[in-house]
Amino acid sequence: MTRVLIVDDSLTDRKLAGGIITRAGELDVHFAVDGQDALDQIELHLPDLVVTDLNMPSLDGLALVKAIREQYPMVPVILMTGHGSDAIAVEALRTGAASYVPKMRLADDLVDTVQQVLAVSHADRGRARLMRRLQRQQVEFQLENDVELIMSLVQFLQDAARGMKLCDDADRVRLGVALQEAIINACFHGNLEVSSVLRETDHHAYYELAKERAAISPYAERRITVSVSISALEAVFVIQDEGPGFDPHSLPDPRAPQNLERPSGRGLLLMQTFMDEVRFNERGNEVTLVKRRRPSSPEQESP
Amino acid sequence: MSLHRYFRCTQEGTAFVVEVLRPVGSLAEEDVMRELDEIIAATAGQPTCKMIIDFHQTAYFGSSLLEALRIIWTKIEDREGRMALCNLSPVGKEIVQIAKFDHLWPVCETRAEALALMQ
Repeated sequence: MTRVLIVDDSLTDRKLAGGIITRAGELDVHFAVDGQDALDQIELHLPDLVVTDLNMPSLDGLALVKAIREQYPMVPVILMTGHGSDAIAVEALRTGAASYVPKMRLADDLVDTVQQVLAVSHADRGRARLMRRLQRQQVEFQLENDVELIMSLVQFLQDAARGMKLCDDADRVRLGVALQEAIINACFHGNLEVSSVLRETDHHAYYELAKERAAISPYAERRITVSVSISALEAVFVIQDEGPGFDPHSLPDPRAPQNLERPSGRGLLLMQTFMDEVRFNERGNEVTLVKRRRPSSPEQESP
Repeated sequence: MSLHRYFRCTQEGTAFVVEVLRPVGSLAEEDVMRELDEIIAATAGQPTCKMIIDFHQTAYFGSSLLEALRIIWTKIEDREGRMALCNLSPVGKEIVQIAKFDHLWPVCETRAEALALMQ
């Protein structure tokens, strides 16, 4: 049965929300008196949904949303907001709450909101379960020199690797940082040919030049090709630009004391630290990044 | 008043506190550069500058943000400025240590600790 945890320090409001929610279907409703009590209960028995007040002692609704987002990302949270808590509600939604219902509209809106959020959540869980059974995926993207597209692709690739249980949450972040560095390098240093030497003297001029070149030939026609193969054992990312290439050995060591305040080389350093393997082709316009699953990672999830 | 998507700068006592609101994809984004310029402009009139970079809203970042920190630092170090980082996530600390930026600026656990250090 679907388990719902209602969190509110007010006994009256807990009972009110609990009474309304039982109308949403066959639900197993439980209660917690504040955020800390909620986390204690979640640790013992994972709910399918949390419905929480914002203003509570011990651990408030915003902190609870953050904690659930970090520790139990598949558990959606609905906020019950009081008058004057709009700003905190917006913050909580930004942090990862699934939806919110003003307390004065609980009777009218809570049932619909619970049903909608549970429907989306069930679909997400089903997709996550399916993804964990995927054995191999190969994809290829061709991107313009567009930072927004690059950020979206990085997110997609992180999710793909995480979905196949290739990495845990911390490694997912490291993977994202390394991929972002590699693709941004392909864009700025590869296709747009803007040099870190300019960034060292005038960072405004560096980014202005990148912007200008992104609109003129031959730079504007150049693309970034990202070829990806992810299996349960490893992910291989090949990132190629259409620029003249570079010699990675020519970069200064950014960790050397005399280079600490220089801008060059940190991206490559992060890539080398966070990936298991980083290699360039001879021309220097293609980098291959390999991330292997750690031996301790579980082979299969429970169904 | 301009909307701040990446950095929020406030003054606490004699120190400027810059909160990093989200990961920075690239300094080429106009909002990033504009907000960075606003921070630099806010500190420009100060004879010395104490700057705290607070990461409590951002779990991770890459070389673009490290570059932003470096730019801020180059603007204030000539005026005997001081800078400290605080509220870094474990991965955030790892990134700062990889770049050896912890050799340039102290890394504090909390904002209160960073403020005390600046006094």
